[in-house]
Order: sequence, then C-alpha cells, then structure tokens
Amino acid sequence: MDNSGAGYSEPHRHRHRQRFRGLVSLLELKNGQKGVVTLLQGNKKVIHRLSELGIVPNTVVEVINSIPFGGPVEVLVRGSRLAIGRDVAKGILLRVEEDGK
Amino acid sequence: MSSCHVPSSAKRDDKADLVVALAGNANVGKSTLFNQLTGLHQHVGNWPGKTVEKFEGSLVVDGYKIDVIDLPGIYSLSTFSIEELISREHIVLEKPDVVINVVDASVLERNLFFTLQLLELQTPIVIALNMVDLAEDRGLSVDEKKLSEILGVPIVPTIASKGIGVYELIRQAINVAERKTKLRPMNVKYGKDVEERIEKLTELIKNGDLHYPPRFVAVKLLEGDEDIKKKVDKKVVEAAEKFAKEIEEIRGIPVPIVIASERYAIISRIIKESRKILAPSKIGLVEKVDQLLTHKILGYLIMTIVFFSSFYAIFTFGDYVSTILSAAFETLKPSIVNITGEILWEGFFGGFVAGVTLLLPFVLPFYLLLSILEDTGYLPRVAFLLDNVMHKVGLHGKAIIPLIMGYACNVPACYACRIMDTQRERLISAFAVTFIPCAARIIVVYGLVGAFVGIEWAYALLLINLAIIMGMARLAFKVCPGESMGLIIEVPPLRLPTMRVVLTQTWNSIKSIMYVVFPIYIIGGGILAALYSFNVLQPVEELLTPLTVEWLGLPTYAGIPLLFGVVRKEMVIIMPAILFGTTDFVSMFTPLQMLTLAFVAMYYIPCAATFAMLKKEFGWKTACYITAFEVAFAILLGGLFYRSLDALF
Repeated sequence: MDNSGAGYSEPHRHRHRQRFRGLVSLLELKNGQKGVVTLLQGNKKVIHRLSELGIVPNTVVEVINSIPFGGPVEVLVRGSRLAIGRDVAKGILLRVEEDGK
Repeated sequence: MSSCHVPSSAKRDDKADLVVALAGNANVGKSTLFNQLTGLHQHVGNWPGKTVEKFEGSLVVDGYKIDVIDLPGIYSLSTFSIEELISREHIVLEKPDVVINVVDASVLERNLFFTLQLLELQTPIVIALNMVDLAEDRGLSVDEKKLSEILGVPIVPTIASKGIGVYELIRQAINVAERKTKLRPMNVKYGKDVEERIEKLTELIKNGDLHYPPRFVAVKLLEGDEDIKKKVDKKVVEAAEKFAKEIEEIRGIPVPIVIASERYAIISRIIKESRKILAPSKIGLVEKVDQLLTHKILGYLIMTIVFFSSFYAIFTFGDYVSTILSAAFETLKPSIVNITGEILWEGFFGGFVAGVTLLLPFVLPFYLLLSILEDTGYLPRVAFLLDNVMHKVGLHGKAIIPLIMGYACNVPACYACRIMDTQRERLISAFAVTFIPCAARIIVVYGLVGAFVGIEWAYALLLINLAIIMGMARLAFKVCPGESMGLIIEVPPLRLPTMRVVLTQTWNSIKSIMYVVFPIYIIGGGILAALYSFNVLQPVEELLTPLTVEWLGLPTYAGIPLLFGVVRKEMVIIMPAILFGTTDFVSMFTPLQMLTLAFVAMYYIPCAATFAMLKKEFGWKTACYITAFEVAFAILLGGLFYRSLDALF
C-alpha cells in the first residue's frame, strides 16, 4: 500500500538500475562521497518524511558512515546528521558528479 | 485558559494567565528550557523523541502568571505521528497566546522548516535561537537581527542548559502576546503553479467553519493530509485532489515533495542572508570518539564493553552495598517473642529493610548509568549500530532505545515506544520491552542466582533472555498486522554528560521509588506476616502446588511470593526474605529451585504498573492478551527449563 505514482514505485534494485541510468542509490556511495538527490522511491510516507528532513531533489547528501551486512548509513544533509536504514536508503537516488562534489 | 482575548490592561490588573507553548524539532532543548522556565524536572535526555506528551508548568514573571506547555518535538506539522498530532492540535485548538519556537542554531535549516509551518498556521511566535554556543563551536554564526527581520518574528539567542537568554525570551513572548511587537510575520509563498492552486483552494475553504487558517488547510489538503481531509467538505477534498494531480503532472514529483522542496528553497535564501560559516573551533577529539563509537567493528566492541561493564558495575556495586546494609540492619534486630511484635518487626520493618538492602543498591546504579547513557547521546548511536539486528526481528534501530530503557524499568520504556513511527512497530516494541528484565527482575536474578548459584549463571540467564526477546519480537512481527517504516533517526551531537542533569534525573527516579514502592513493601510485608501468623495463606499455597511444586519443582512457599510479584517483580525475593527474616536464600531454595524461580520471575507476567501502561497505550484487550500470553509462556518454559536443568545436574 501507499505507493505513489509517477515513477515512485516500490524500489526494485535491478529494475531501477536500468530505468535511471547514471543514478546511484545512497547505498552505493562510499564514506565521504557526496551526491545530489535526484529521485526518491518507496513508501509514500517514508518519502514525505525524508523530504521534511531536507532530503529533497537537488540537495547535496554526504555519506559519513555506514555499517556493512545490511546496516544503515549515516548522512550529512543540510547540516544535520541522519541515520537511515538500508530499505529507506536504497530508494534515495543520486547523481554523483565527477569530482565527488 | 481562554483569557487570551481579554484586553491587555485588564490582564495585568488581575494577574491573568498567559499561555505559552514550547514547540520545535526533536532534541533542540525544549524540555531543558521548560525546566528552566518552570523550575520543574521534566525528563530530558540527548535523543530525539523523549517528550511524547505535552507537559504543563507555570511561572510568575513581571507580574504575569504564565502557563508553559512543553510540546513533543516534531519535524513537521503533518500528522504521521502521535506527537505531531498532539502538537498541531494543541496549537490550533487550545490557541496558546504565543508559541515559543525553540530552534537549534547549529541545525538552522531543518529547524526553520518547522518555523515556516508555524508561520503558515498564523500563530504568534517568538523564536528561541537555542544552542548558539554549539553553533559557534561548529563555526556557524547566525545574525539573529537579520533573521528576525526576514521572518518578521522576534528572535532571542539562548543557551537553555545554562539559563542564558531565558528571561529575555519570556519578556519577548509577553510582548508578542500583548501585540506590542512591530514585526509582521513573513508570508510563505510557493512557486506560481502551486500558489495559484493554493489560492483557488483557499477560496473554496474560506466559508467553512474550521479552526485552522484556510491557507494552511489548502496546503495540507494538497499534501494529502488525512486528518485535514476529514475536517472539510467532500467537494473541497475532490478539488484538492484534482489540483494535486495537476501539480504532480507539471512537476513530475508528488506534492508533499514539491512543497518540502519549495520550503527548503525559501530557507536556503534566508540562510544565505543571515548565517555565516566561519572556521569551526572545537572539532577534533569529540569527532574522533564519535567515529569510534559508530565504527563498523570497533563500535560493536565498545558497545559490548559498555553494556557488559555496566552490568558488572551494577552487580558489583549492588552486592557490596547490599552486604554492608544487611549487616548493619542485622545488628538492629531485637529478640521478640510475642506475635504482634513478630508481625511488626518481621513484616513492616522487614519490608523496609528488604527494600533498602535489595532495591536501592541495585536500582540506584541502574538509573545513574541510564541517565548518563541518555545524556551523552549514545542511545541513537546504538540504534545505528543495531539497526540490522533489529531488522531481523521485524523492527528497526530506533526500537533499541525503549529496549535499553526497559532494563531500568519497563513502564517508561513502554511509553518510549511512541518514538516508533507506526502503531504496529509501537506494539511489537512494547511487547518486546515487557520481556526485558527490568532492574526489579535483575535483583531477583542476582539475589537468587548471582549470589548463591554463581554469577556466570546470572549472565547466562540474561543471555538466554536476549534470545527470547528476539524470538518474541519476531513472533509478534509475524502475528501483528500493519505497516512498518525503516530507520530514519537524527543523530544528536555527542557530549559529556552534565553532572547536574544526570543526578537530577536519577534522583527523580529514585524519589518516586521511595514514595511509591517502599510503602508497598512495608504494607505488603506487614500484611504478609499477619496472614502467615494467622495461617490464612497456607490454603492458597496448597492451591498453587500443582503449578509451583509439581510442574516447576519449587517449594510450596514459593507460591505466595510469586503472587506478590505481580505487583512488583522484586517481591518474589523480598517476600521470602521477610518470611524467613534473612536474605540468605540458601536455607530456602536449592540451586535448581533458585534458577527456576528466577527464570519464571523474569517472564511470568508484566507487573501491575507495566500492565497499566500497556492498557493506556494499546487498550484493555491488547494488555490482557500480552499478559495471558506471558503467563502461559513463563509456566510452560519454566517447567521445561526446570526439567532440562534437572536432567543436566
């Protein structure tokens, strides 16, 4: 339930890789790497909550820490630090610029 | 408090009330400010979501009697969570004379997101620009005059933890409430496509009888706010849905994100004009420590050490103090022969002694350690580390916070489950919390098993318990319908615990124990001794023997303590201590019986206070289901536990 339309389907790894060439999910960033939020996928409420916390398109997000084996990632966004679970993070798609900025 | 429409001159004469509400993001220091203003001791701690209900206090300043409401911390005025609904409804329906919007100066952008929504609510506000010291440490310099000009709202820089700026803040709040400020609040304007539709929708709403400002309702309707939808005409909802669809077609993204993006764009412009980034002054050691605490390997190592050494410290300290106190009370014991004296001494005084020697030495360090953990900001970091583990049982990292609190007491822990985002997650976490051995149960485990069977057995029981909690949460996850959200939690800055805060919190917890729990021991002890003296309890014990003796292998006299344990778990050992006049349980139970009794006591029922809290949060039915399940679970597993150990020994 709660899947909104307009390209906001439940995230599916392989499918969105093909559909959104050039974009990577937050999970694929290394520590210290930055990306620009381009697309948000997943549960409507989750997306809404993320946007309220400042994760909206064209926002720079920096990964500062992550836990392997399905653990969460910690990001710096608009001066605040957020811990984001894997399920949520994989729906945050970013554009990474060449110099990592 | 509806005196807000009385003219200001009349107010001053009869010292009429002003109502001030504190609102803002989670973990920005609202409760700290509340305590500063009211002199009360509302619970504070360094993790987002502590305050889940509104609290009230009052103060008298400059001839005004002011009521202060501490609202739960929220990021938005949408209604995803109970806290958001509480805060929004309070501001709109109770109409406080002024809202003090507490803002964390070091995370200004995200905090202003909430401020913009308050402006849209058209409520009179004053901004407390809090934690300006922290912002400066981070090299962020906020020009509050400029910011105040742009927002059209008075701003007072504060450091709530030190009381700096608090008086000025309250004076500004009075000014705003008295309409003495010349500032005109800023209008929040969106892009043309959105703005057109908001205006059309506002026209449609205007005639309706709503407490909310029409424009606010229009924005919320476009965002699809379920609560607001229920409050307006069906036609308006339909129009809003049509407009929302149009906006989504133009922008290609859902309306809530369009709105959030626009608000953040406005904020970026505000910040550009009012904040300078200088070189941060105090980064280094704290950041290094922080990196270690959440390191993918060392973080877990440190966490294990922290929790293990906490338990070790509690056991060691508790045992040491308990022994000294017991010896001290022993010397006080007179020789009494008559039965009234027996009841008085063994019962009433015995209850008191058992409380002092068993409860305080263990509970005190528990609360002290928990306060320290809370105040440092370590708990959200543990949530980060254990997110994937919690996912295995259908929860996520945030649930670890109530679970850890549960080790001190299940009651506030069940309450803290409100930090979970959905009702389902709240219920699963609360269910898991009731399996956490609270300080009272730890006393039973330690007093029986740790002290007389072996400390390694006590730890073993705690480890088995961890496995059981995981299993139970998993079970609840399977059984319980509803939706789950992933982990999204703010990581607050790490800091050294403040001695004053830690001691105050500990003292508050201990104080309530002394006032509430000690009378229970003393009266309970008296009643028990009296009933025994008159041979009233033996039939009850007889009745319980199929369970206690046959199935669990316990002595007959274990039945009554287990019944008393329903009230408070530590009664399970305090009662035998009173009956036998000693805490040397070797004379009463075999090691196997001690293990079984401790095991059963850990699980057999949520105590009365926990039950009441479960009822409050989830209703009678759920509370009864949980209780019934746990009784059956403990009896079944207790019997199996006894039999398997019996075979081993």
